[in-house]
Amino acid sequence: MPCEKIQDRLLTDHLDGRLSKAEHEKIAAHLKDCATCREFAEIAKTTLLEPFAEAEQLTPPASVWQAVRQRIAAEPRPQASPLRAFLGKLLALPVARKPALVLAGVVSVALLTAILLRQPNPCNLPGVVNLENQIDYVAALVGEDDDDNEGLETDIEQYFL
Amino acid sequence: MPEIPHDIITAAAQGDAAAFETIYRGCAGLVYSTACRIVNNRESAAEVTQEVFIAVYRKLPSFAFRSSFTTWLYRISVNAAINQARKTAREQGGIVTYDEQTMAVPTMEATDDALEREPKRQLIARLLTALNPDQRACIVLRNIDGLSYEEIAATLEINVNTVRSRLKRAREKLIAIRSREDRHAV
Repeated sequence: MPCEKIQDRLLTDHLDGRLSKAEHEKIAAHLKDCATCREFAEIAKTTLLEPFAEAEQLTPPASVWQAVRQRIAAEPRPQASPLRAFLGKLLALPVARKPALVLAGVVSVALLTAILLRQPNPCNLPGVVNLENQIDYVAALVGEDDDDNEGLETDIEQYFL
Repeated sequence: MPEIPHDIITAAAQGDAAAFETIYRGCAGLVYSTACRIVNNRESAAEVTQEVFIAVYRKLPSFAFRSSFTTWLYRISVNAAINQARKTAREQGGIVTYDEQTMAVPTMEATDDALEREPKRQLIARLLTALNPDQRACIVLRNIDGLSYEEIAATLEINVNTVRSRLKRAREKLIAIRSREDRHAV
């Protein structure tokens, strides 16, 4: 790899610890043999990392919060939609922060739904069909389906009436 | 990055003033520090911080947790600071100068420790001044705030290769400045 490319990598991925093991080894081998790039790597480290390493967090003056508080007091109260509020509460649940658990839950519900939908309708079971056929057969034997039979003709009816 | 609990964010989005103050107390330092380094002036950084929190208050009801709250806050802060830095640069005819006086005044009492840190603070400000606002934002987010390339890309809404090329150009400039300073010092 030419020095120019090595120096590009030194300024970015190498300095920020983003190189793969293989790339890192390739650059280390180059630095071992090339004094110019070795010096460049040292300058990059001292110039680009060290000055920023101890940068502390700054604190805003108290007047900033006072101004913010006054301004928001004069603003209309923000209105979150009920859906967003619900979403916020849902995401606040510890389980929502574990995507694997959420995915497992969704897959379980989908599987359960699919299994239930694939269950045969009890009315279409072969046993039920046979039973219905048998009822029809018996009805035919006793003449229930005979439209001309209006009643008051059988012996039993005559007995009760 | 400070993490704000979801229930605090939801409560603040519904107008809970105490919850909003919790967000301010947890994140104001981050917003102000980032703004200070991008605009390179404490007074402007205080204004940017104020505007950022007003924007957060207004936009919170529409925050849908699609990104982390901190990434969302960073995005608002960095954009506000970059806009302020560009505005200042335009007003000064494209020349952004290091405001030594405003950057050199510590916010707290000038303790020995604070005085000892002052040259480092000035060095950081001087280096950042040499960069344009976009490069400055990348250096601040990477070198000071420690964000990964992917987090910087999400914050600035650019791709990772653009982050890499901005960092490279910024760092080339910084090396050039330091070597020039070293030559003058000899």
